Amino acid sequence: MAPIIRTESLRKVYHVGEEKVVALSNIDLSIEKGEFCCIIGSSGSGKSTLLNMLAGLEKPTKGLVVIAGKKVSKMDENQLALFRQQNLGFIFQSYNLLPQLTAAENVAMPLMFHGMPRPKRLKKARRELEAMGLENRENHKPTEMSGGQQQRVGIARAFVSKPQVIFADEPTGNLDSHTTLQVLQTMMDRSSKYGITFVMVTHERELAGCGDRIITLQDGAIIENLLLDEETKKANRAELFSGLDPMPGSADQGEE
Amino acid sequence: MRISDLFRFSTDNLRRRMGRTILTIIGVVVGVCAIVVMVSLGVAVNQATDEMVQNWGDLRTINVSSYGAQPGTPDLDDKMVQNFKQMEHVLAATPMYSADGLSGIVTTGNGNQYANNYPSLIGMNPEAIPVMDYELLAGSYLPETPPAHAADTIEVLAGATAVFEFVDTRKGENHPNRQKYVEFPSYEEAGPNAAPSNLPQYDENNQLLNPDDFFFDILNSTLTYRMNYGTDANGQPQYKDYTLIVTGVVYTHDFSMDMGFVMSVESMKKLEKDYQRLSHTPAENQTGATVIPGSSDGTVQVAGYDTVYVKVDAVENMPEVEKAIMDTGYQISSMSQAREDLQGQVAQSQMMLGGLAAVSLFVAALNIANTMTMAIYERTREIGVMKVLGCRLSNIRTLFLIESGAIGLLGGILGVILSFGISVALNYLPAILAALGITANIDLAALFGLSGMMGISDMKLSVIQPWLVLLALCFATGVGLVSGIAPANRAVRISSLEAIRHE
Repeated sequence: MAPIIRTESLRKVYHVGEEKVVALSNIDLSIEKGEFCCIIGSSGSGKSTLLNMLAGLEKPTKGLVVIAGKKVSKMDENQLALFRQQNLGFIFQSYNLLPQLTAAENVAMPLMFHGMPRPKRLKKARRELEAMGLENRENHKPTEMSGGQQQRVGIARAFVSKPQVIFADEPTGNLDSHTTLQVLQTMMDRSSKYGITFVMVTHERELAGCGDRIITLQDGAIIENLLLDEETKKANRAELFSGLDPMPGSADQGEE
Repeated sequence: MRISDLFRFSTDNLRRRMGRTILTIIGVVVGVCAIVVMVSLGVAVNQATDEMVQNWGDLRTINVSSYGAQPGTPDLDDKMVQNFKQMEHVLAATPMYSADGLSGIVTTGNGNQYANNYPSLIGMNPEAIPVMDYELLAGSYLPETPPAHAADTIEVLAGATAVFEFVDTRKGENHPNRQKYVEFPSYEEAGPNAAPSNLPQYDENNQLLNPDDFFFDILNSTLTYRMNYGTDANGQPQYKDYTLIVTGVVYTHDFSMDMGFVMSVESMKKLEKDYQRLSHTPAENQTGATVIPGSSDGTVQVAGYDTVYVKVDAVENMPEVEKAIMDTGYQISSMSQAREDLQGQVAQSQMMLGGLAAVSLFVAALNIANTMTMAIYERTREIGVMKVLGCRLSNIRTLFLIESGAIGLLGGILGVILSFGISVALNYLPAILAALGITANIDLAALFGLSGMMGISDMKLSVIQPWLVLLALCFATGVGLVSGIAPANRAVRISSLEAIRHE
């Protein structure tokens, strides 16, 4: 089966004044459908730049990004908007919920952009929030929720349209360690349940160990592309999630 | 995105920054209000001038003069009158002919008891008279071909007030009942230029219904025109008498016409010829143009009739016919021309005042643009997030245009409402001031550069018509939309990367 995400000799050069800064060079990678893929690296290694280019938020200086058979790096803004509506989801480090909207409205936003009628999309959003254990928070504004709750709303927003790929840039970066584990578990559960490919940037190696694949970047190049076997994954997860109560409401709520 | 979602999203955002939205809307309200009130003043003046001009007289008659013609202009003779008549849109053309030097009196009654010592006699083409909008009060118009009768008999139409020009010669010069006078209804009740209240009234059998108002019934009396053509050897005046048959009484709405008698041009020419023959005055066989002494602009007086009236079928066609006649070289005047001049003047003032008011709306537009730009700076991150989540660029642009358009529309609605309030206040202002004991004369006409708005004492100061409301709303919304274009485009250009930049 063809990989869902593929890059060909991806290169990104930034011009800072007179100087050229090579952020990424010669990135060739493929990610299979349904994989939970973590991109790790130290600060300045180019991991965020890579994610941005995979998601089509930045144009590569050279090279190609193909997602689900479409050349994302060649699309213009309008084509990208349509492609994102239908195929991509996003989770941000700082949640990026719209402050004037309720939790349910925030979750329903991608469906609104798609043109789904309001009652229908709010119903879907509520279901998604219930799956996140936020059934009591549907009509709360973001400012009335804790960081962990806000990020779960952000996750619900990424999953609500059941996209092919979800990109997450340091999704647990602003959360305490306990909440981090809860949120990570939720993301893994939801993406495996719906067969969604998940690409997450993090700088915490132990979190990355729970995924299927770890891509390690250093100075703009891939220094390691590791596909974990089942046993290692299990061991890593058991170690990480030991002592963590199952997240309230993370049990499946029976959808469709 | 659905249209309902676009509107919900935009209005949510407006509500979110309520204070700033309200301030911006107030700016628009002031601008719209200024323009609407200024224009409403002009509309009021226009209505008043229209009313005034309509009272002046007929809007479809062109007065062609032999004076002030361009050199080389043909004579204003019967041939030219025929030419006018054959022009498109012309219903009738007639000379308004009064013979020079003719003198005489009109008398009637036993022993010529009643006399008009200075009768006004006008010759017109009989077939043109019914077309001139002269109101026939009794009898009939002049026959187009005079019936066979004694040589010194002339058919005439009497003006509606001609009967009041007669004096009772049996009463002394200072006798209070020597003359009966035209009476007008009170100004307060009937307004300017109302018809006299004691015009002769006739039933369908041409019987006078209000005989007490007059010395005699002008329609059913025998009138004599006594032409004075000189003196004999003894210094006694010499007369020739003509019998005037009054075929009808017409109310022409033109007071100088109403005082006199109208006869056919042929009759008038016969009178003139008789006069010249009897008084041994040589007939003037003048043709061609005379340079008018003292005319600095090189215009001349052409030979022929002094004045010719041309009646046009509709007011809209006046400019066309006027132009055709002026192209022939004649100077013309008409009420519709006068009206256009007035309206042009009002429009000019209106433009100027409206322009001043537009400045405040322009400031409001800058305000909207400023508010929207601020909003976009504040929401850079949000816009980025929306883009990352798949919001189309056209939707983002529409969102911001709806916001700025809504500010314009809301400002427009409130501005129009406020304008109605101001308009009512303005219209009651004289009354309010009077109640407060202040006597103020608000001369709106002077504001528009018009002087002598005679007879329009109760004119409204401000008139807001439906078209003005509609125009104001469209204009305000348009201003909002236009001011929103640049900020909306800025929003579209925001990079989606902004969204995921870490704080």
